Amino acid sequence: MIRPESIPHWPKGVQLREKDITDHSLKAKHEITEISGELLRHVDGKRSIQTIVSECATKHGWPEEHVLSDFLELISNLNHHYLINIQTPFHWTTFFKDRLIALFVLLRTLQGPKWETKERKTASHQSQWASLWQMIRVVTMVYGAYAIGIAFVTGILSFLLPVGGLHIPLLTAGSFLTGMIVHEYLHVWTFQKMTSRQFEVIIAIRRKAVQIVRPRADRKTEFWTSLSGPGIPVLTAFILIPLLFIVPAGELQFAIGCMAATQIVHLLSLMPFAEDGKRIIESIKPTPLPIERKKSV
Amino acid sequence: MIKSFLVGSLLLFISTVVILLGLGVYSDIQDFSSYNWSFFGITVFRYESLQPDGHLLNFGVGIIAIALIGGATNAGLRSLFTRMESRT
Repeated sequence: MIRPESIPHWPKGVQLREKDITDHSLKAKHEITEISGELLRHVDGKRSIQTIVSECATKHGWPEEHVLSDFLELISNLNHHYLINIQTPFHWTTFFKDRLIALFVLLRTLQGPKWETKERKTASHQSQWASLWQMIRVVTMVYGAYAIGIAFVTGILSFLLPVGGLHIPLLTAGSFLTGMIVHEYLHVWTFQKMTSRQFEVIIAIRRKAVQIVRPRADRKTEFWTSLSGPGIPVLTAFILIPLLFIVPAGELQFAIGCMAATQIVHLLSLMPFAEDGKRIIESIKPTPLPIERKKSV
Repeated sequence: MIKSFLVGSLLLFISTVVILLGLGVYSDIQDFSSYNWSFFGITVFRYESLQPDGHLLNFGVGIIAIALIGGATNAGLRSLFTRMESRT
C-alpha cells in the first residue's frame, strides 16, 4: 500500500518532462497537468510523499491535507500503470499491516489499485547470467508464497498416502519455482536474442504475478517469444508423464507426478484466452499484426 | 460483493479441508479413537480410526455451512470497508 512515508522513484526508461511523462522503453507519452508536474519534479528517490507535499504546500501556499490525498492518488495511478516505483521504509508495524492487507486483497474484501503496489524493472542487458539471476530473484520473491503453499499441500498428501518424507514437498516446490523462472526467463531471452537486444524488456511485478512487457515485433519473433516461455515447461511435463507409467508405484512415482503437475499448468498459458496463446494465434493469423497496421497507415 | 462472497467461501472451504486432512494425520499419529464433529446437528467431520493402522475421514455438509458463513462474513466486511472509505 502506498503511504505518506513511501518514497517514490522513477524506474529506468521513464522520464518526467515539461508537460508529460515519457516512457522511452515502450515509446509512450502520458500527459500531466501543471500542478502534477510541479509535485512530480520533486521525486528524486530520497524524499517521501509527505516531504514533497509539505515542501510544495509551503512554497505555493496550498492546503497540505488536500494536496496530500490528491498526490497519493496521483502516485497510486502512476504506479498502477508501472510509471513510478515505490519504496516504503521497513517497519514491523507496516510489515504486519501489509500482510493483513494482502490477505484481505486475496479474499477480495479490499478491492482497487490503492491496495496494491506494483514495481517495474528493466531486464538486465549486461549478460545472460545477470538476466537469469535477476529473474530468479524476482520469481522467488513473487511466487515464493505459492511455493510454500504447494510444499504444504504436497507434504500433507505424502503423509496421507504415505509416500516418502520431507524431500517430496521440497522437490515439488522447487520444481514449481524452476518452471516459473524458466517460463519468464525464456520470454526475455528469446526476445532479446531475436531482436539482437535492440529493445528494452520490462519486468512488470504485481502482487503474486510477473509479466514480461515488451514492444511488438515481427511475426516470427512474436511466435517464438510467446511459445518459448511455456513451451519448455510443457515439454518437460510431456517427458515426465510417460515416466509415471514406467517407474514402479511408490515414492519415485509420486515425486514425478508432483513435478509433472507443476509443469503441466504452463499449458494454460498456451490456451487462446491467455496472453501467450493470444499472441501465438495473432502471429500465425493472416490478418496484420498491430505493428504492421501502424506501418501501413 | 458477490466476488467477496464467492472468494471468501471458496478459500475457506479449501483451507478447512486442508486443515482437517492435517488433523486426520495428527489424530492417526497420536492413535486417537474415532470421533465426530457436529455443528447444530450437522456433521462437519468424522474421524474413524482403522485397525491395525490407518484412518478414514468423512466430510459432512457442515463444511459447506462453514464456507457459506465465511463468505457472508467476508462480504459483510467488504460492505463495511466500502462504507468507511466513502465517508473519508
